Amino acid sequence: MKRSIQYFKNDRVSKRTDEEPQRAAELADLASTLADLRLVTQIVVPFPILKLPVELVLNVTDHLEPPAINALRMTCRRLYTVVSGIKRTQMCPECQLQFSKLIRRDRYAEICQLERDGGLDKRLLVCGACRKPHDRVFFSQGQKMLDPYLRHCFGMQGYLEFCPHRMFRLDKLRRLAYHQDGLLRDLPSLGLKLCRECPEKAQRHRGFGRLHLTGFSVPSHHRPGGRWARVEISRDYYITLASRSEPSFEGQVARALSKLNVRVCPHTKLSDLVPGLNTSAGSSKHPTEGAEYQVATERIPGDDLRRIAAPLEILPVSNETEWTSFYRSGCGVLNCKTRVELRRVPSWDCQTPSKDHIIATIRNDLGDLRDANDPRWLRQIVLLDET
Amino acid sequence: MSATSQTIILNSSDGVDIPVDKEVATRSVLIRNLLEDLGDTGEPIPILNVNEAVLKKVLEWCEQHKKDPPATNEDDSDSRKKTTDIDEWDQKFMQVDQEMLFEIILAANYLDIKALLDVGCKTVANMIKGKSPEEIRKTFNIQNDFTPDEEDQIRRENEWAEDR
Repeated sequence: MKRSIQYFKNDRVSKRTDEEPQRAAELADLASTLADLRLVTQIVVPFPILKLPVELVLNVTDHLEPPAINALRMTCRRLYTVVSGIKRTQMCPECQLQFSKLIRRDRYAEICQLERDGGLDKRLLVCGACRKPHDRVFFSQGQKMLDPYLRHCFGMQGYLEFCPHRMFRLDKLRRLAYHQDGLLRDLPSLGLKLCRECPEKAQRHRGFGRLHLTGFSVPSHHRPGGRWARVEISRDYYITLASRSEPSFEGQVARALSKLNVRVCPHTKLSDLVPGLNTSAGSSKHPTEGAEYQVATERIPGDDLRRIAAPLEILPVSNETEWTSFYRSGCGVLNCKTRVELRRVPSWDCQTPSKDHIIATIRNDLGDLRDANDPRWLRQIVLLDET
Repeated sequence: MSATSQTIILNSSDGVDIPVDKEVATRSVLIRNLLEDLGDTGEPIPILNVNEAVLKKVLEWCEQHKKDPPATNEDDSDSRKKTTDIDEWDQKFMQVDQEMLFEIILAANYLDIKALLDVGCKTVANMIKGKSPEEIRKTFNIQNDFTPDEEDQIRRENEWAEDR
């Protein structure tokens, strides 16, 4: 410590003495106070953990969990050789998760530093939410200006609109779909409640919804999580048709669906998909009217709303058979794998036997929810107007 | 051991005589063995590797823990492993700068005081726990002396962890 102060005084300050004696004196004063301050605040310890003999280092590691052991090992050469590492296969999933958190924290700090120093690829920007670098196209103009720690990519910013009153962010859905250790939950058993307003509102329009989050996973050797998954959000609307006095069954369905006014995905409304009701099925604009959000003016990357021939399938309607699907369709926008199916139920309510009932099932494919900028996810989200 | 407390004198590495209760000093297996071998001659016992400040600190711990039951069997290592719970007094006792902490660990090792050694190692383990490699380096002022090639190799070893 003493030596370093001496060095500071001799080297820097005395050089200037010849030119500006007064300033030098001031500087020397400043230097000594600074050094004093440093003496008080900072305890410089010459790497004492490295002075410990091997058996004591091992005694310390005896008290550590595998993630901490591996982290300690990565600090310097001596500890790397003294401490034996623990392989991934020898760690429990919980430990793997802990270790990966530690590693990612360092990596994140490193890439933030790189971005500040200009060492990062110019096409990339760090996302503070994913803690990863993404391509620039995945950030809105406003986000590009922010500090890496505060910056969010489109995938983390956007919301999945389930109904006009209920929106999900990616992290919320991830929590619902995955266990902490990154394994997919037993999703078919997971039902979500609708918001309070929706059933009433939908009831008024003669129908109500129910939400399911479903998913399945396939074991895989390639993915770090050991498996890959697909998560799907599905909604069922139970719709009671008006009395049979209406001219045609198709007419009744079309009327009921238009009253329901449900958005299937950000690009399409339910009524758009039913033929003979609305001719705007091929419209290539984000629908904004009637919605309580504003779709951002900025385009989500790959936001090519060109429709590939929308799969449309009208099945023969039979009045006799029960629970038959009579209509299937889907959003035709690229990468949007939204599917709609209409099914017919004779009646689930014996008090209104004269009425017909249909179930509209909407399924949105959300991809595996791991990567925020998965095109399937980006297709399903809307950006709220930040103002 | 007699009920009345006897006093013995320890001579630290920097030549300071420290009188101490025999009961307290014999928490150290080294001193106990020395006393058994040499007999109680009343002469100061030289403690070659420990200086006065550290020795006083260690004896302070022994004083506090003199009533503890003697360390149980040697092969209880499984039960003491992986736990880093330290009782409150020991935690306060270990709130010293790192240099002192490491001196205490070395002294406990030399004097063969297993319980103190464990407390010391647990304290260090607690300082490591939950920290990333970079944070550990900062805590212990360790210099990253890996070559870029080695760094690359380590990164490859842990590639799986970055991608979750």
